[in-house]
Amino acid sequence: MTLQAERATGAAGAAPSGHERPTATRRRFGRVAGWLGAMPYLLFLAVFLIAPIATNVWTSFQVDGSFSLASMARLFEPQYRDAFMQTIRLSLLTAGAGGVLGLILAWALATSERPKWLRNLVLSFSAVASQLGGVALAFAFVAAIGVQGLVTRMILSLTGWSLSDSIQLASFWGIALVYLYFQVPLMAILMLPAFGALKKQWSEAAYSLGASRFRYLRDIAFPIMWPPIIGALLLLFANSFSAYATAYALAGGRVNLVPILIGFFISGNVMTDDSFAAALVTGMIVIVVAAMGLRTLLERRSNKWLR
Amino acid sequence: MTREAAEVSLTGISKSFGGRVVLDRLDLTLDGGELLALLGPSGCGKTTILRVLAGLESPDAGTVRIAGRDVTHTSVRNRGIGIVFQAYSLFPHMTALENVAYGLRIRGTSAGKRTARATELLETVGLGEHRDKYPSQLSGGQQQRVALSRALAIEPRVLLLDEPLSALDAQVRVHLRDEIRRIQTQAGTTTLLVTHDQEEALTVADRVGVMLNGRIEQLGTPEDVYQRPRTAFISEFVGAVNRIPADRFGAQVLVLGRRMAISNAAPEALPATELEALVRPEDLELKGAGDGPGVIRSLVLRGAVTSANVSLGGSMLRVDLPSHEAANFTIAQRVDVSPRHNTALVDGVRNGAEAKEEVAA
Repeated sequence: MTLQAERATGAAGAAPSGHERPTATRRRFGRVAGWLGAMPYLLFLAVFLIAPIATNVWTSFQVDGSFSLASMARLFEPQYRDAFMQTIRLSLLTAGAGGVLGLILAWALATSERPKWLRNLVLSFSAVASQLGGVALAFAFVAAIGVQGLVTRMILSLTGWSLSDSIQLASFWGIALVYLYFQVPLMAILMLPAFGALKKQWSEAAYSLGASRFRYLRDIAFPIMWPPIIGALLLLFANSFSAYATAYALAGGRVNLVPILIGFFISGNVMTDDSFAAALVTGMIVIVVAAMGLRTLLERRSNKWLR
Repeated sequence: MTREAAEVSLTGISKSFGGRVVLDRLDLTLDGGELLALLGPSGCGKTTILRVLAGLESPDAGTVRIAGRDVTHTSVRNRGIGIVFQAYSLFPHMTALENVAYGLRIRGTSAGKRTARATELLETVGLGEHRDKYPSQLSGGQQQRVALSRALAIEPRVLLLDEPLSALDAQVRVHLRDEIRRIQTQAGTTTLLVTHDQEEALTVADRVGVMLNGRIEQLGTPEDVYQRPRTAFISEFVGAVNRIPADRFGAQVLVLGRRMAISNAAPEALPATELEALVRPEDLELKGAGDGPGVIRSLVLRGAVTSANVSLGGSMLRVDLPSHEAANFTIAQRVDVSPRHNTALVDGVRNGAEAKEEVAA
């Protein structure tokens, strides 16, 4: 039937454009259908990424209903610059320490098979602990090693040494310690699949070729594990960078962190300033995007084989 | 590539895993430069032998010697061994060239020398153009070629092949099989091949060891193992076989109306009845006969050979004949079946259902 229709058009002679139209339409339809298939994906990006960033950036350049750079400029005042530095330091510290400890935990989970029940227990506990931030966690630490904490008082009565003098929970280091409680298991959970993907044949092949254990780790295991490690560290960094409830419950305003400042400016009892809160968020977005860019760059350079 | 071919000997090797004995005082010697295949069903212990020889598994008892030196307690990396695994053993973050050169890199060979050597090896296996590709960009067969080159790059004294072809599809398998044999002969490296594929073992090996339950049941040339199997298990595992009801008269059996000498080690120990002779499909002869006892049920073309399935006296027999001869027969034709040779291996009667299944397979 198609053949006949085409021949008819051909017979009509002077209608080359009419001959082309059906294929062009079909092509256009194909393109539209392709985009339709990607709709859920695009919708997700729009709702979860583009809209929030756009509204946030828009708000940070609006003061009293008109365009202004004032809020963004305030980010560079010493107090707020310090808040960013502190938050970055806290995030780097807990991502780094949590990353190393979590890596060791993941390695232990991946390689030790027995006893199986213990492995399963640690595994499910890690999954829970990695998501256990917030007020409950802060309270648990206060109740254990706070000034009047159970452990603190026990150690005090046994040895006369006050734990809370050395570790103050309402300080930078106290917050870092509490963050490790979820950073370490999070790293372990994130790295476990990567350890599982390390094939036994690789180590055996390397050994048979003359590699020592150290050389195997340096030449084979580490380069293969590198991309997932970097990815997991970035997630840990972002996780700590944006944590609010835990830090607020522990220290309130005593530690100068960006998420706590944002909380003050959105719902503080002294002053609220939506525009400046948005400016602080914009600053955070810039830093997280920069971290992601750095990761992509590192991966590009070291991992041609992944593409 | 040629280096003095090393003799390998395993003496009194025992190994158990969690109370299960996998190897029981096993002895095995490989002559310098030979390719010995260990053939057996999964779980028979063949891979454990390879791993013990490699040093990836340490034996509970026994001695491993390579070129006269006791290496039982030497670590893998000091044994001078090249291993090709079943699959996925290439380092994914290194190119084919880097993979092959890795062993030389560890030995501190200069970059120029190891690149030249690795390139040469890759060219030997026909992958010169693919040297800069990553394993994920290579096909399964190409990956195994690279793995073979990598194992040979360090000029190992012993080459171990752990089911190197079983993850590949049939055509690639046959091609690579021949190539492994060519390269092994060229290099003259003493080689142990572990496989469950009898055709692979028979076609490439100088000697074949058939394993069952941690013991080597028979060790001999491929012809020996195929033509003169020592036990019923070997006869059935190495190639197809018919089990034909037979009666014993002294040291002979009566099979399909023909007297055959019993090739078992101790024929006198066998019972007089309830016996089955094991005869290979190609060792049976088919003759068209209007009043013959057999009826052709099907003719299956297998290439150069055609298998005729003949029902005879309540059992099914498979007879293999050249396809051009098979053209003279038709389904439902009455035929006479007789053995071509006058010796046969004899075994006790096995449960009927099982026997039928065997012929069907």
